[in-house]
Amino acid sequence: MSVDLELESWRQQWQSPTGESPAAGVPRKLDLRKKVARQSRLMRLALALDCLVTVVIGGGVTLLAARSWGLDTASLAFATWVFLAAAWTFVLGANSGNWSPASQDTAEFLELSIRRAHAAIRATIFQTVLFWTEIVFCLGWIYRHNGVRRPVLVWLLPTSIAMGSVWVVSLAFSIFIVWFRRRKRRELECLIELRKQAGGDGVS
Amino acid sequence: MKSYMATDIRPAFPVPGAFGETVDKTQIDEQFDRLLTAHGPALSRLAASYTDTASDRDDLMQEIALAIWRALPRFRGECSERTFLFRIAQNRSIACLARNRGRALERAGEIEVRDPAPNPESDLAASQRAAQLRSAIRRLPVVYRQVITLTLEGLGYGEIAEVLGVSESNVGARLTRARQMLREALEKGQ
Repeated sequence: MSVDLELESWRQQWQSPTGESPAAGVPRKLDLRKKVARQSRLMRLALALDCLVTVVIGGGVTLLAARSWGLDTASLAFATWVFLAAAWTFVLGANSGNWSPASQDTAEFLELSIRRAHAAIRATIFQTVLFWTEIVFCLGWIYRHNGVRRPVLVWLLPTSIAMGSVWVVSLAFSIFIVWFRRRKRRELECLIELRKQAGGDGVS
Repeated sequence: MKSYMATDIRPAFPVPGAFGETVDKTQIDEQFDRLLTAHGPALSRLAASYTDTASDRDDLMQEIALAIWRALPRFRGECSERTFLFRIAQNRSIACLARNRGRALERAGEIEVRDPAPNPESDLAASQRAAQLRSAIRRLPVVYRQVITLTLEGLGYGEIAEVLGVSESNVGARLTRARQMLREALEKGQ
């Protein structure tokens, strides 16, 4: 079989409607468009939610501090804004240069994906530090503000619903971070392997 | 407090209208429909070469469609529509491959093959050959899979080079190697 005929024969087989039903993989256009529009809306909503959380939490504590002026509420408002600023600064810094590919081809997309995976792995460390700093600060603030008389270590035991919730949320967060970090590391390994293949095929 | 996973939700291409720019939605809808009608089966075949089951292929196809939908408002005809679509499809497939690598390896061999058309033996044989080819392509290393699938979809060296971001001579060399590997795989499978 000559080379071109071979390619043509493969092309016919590849594009044939029999076999693995390639065309069946095209969902109905209308359904697909609806799903795509819904996903697109959800992504915008997530972005808006980030901004809303900043405004509501930051604004809320500022309002609280303005209404009941005191060192306690002022320190809470100040710390909240510091945490928010730290989170935004880190996110914007980590994403710097990673928003969109320099060129639109697959090679650049691969590089961008690798940079994003690195950023996501770094972010898990920052998120863990920020989360525990917030927890320690908030618990300390509540302990002082409410004038709790029990010793701190006893008060921290999950004997109340509120404290139990803090521990459950913390545990869930920690599990999620570990899972997410592992997933990102696997993803990164795979992307690096793909880059190696692309660069090391002896024809680059 | 702020969403912690913000680094992971960014799109590879700009989101239309996310920052208030005006986008002619009807025009985008029409263009999107037209492109999917014309290239949907080809994109689906490409998605199938990166996935093991029909449901995974559909998920990837949906992801590709979403990326196309979001990238369309910024498409200014710098390249052909086909190049634009395949570039997005390849990028999404790579991302999918990286995410599902472990799962994909576990499930290698669970490739779904639809029942052939009723009767004719020739149909059955053709269907089997096509299934064999798809299976062999799916097992090729990604760099070779990319060039062979794009070639089988009728893209020329120039277009493939534009999609992948490599030189035309590189495409030629990869294609030669890909064909050789595919030939060997098909011979072994017979």
